[in-house]
Amino acid sequence: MRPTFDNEYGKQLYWELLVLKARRGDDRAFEEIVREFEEPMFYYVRRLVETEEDAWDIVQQIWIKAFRGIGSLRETTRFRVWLYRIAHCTAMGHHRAAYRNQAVVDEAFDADAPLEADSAPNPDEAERVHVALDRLDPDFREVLTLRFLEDLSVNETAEVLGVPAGTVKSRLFHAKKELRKVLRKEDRI
Amino acid sequence: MNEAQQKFRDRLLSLQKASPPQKYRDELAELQEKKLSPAQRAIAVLVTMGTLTAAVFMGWLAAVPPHPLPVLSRFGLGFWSICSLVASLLASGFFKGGVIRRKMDPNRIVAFVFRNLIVFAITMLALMGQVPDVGMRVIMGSISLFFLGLGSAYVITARLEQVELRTREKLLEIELELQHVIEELRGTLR
Repeated sequence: MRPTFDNEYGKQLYWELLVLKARRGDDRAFEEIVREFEEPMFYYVRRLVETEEDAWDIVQQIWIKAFRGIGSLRETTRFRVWLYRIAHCTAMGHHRAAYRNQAVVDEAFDADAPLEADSAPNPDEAERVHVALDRLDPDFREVLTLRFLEDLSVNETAEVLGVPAGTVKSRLFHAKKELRKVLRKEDRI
Repeated sequence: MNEAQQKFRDRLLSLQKASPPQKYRDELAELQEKKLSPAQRAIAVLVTMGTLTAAVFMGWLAAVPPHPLPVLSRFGLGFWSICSLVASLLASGFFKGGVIRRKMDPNRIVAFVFRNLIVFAITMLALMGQVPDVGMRVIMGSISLFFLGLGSAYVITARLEQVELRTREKLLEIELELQHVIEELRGTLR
């Protein structure tokens, strides 16, 4: 049942159909969704918690919540945002105290101002970026991980994190700045 | 996502390869259905027998003459007798299958709610005939019709939603097939 399309539209259609089937109670469709999203879900959650064991616990809770709640998902096209929102809330609930202490003060950014365009990421840089992500503040780490994994728009990221779009822009701006700083420091070593 | 972004993403994911623990795999296997332990099955048996006994006893009190209790009390006993019977059937389902589904099939939920509302309405109508007071009969009849209407509205809404979802699913399947054909043709023309 895996998609074999070259184009984005075909893949989108496939995922929409899968989510619709899962919503109607098709267990195999939900299993397919779990198989596809297990890796990115684990990667994302692992960026938010201290240990792998905690990360797997959280991922497990995410699937249970998603399985129970998918019947009420109205817009199947927004499945990724909905799933990452569950992931974010579950991770926050699990690690609430630790995360609150490390919260960064957000500047107010204009929500309507366009974000600077990302240059296409170099796949060869992935390893350095992967290591550098762990050196960032949790808020910055999270927005960048969502950007790299799912290329969510500012509004979609804002929905996942439950913050205004302006806050997401501010975090992305500072997160990229910090990431570049960390990567440059690594180069000098 | 363009190709470079996709490659970058895939590389990032490959750097965080971790084997999920057995506990995670076991929980995932039981995501849809969880097997009952022997203790849980024993509880299900006890609940089945207890609710069945309660259903029979309350139904006997409500229906078998002489009737020293007022009509409304008998109605209440009759209603709870039916609820106990339903609970007994549900519990016996768990015991027989030996599994609990983490999520009920929405169609079954709709059918379950509708059946209970219908039974309630019919019970009201049946008891209405035994009430001497005309005013009370009108009230009971109105309540009965209200629950019938509620049940019907609920079922119609749920069915319409299911039909809409099935239609969207069919349309998506057709569109997906067309995309397949288009891609094959593109491949042939190249």
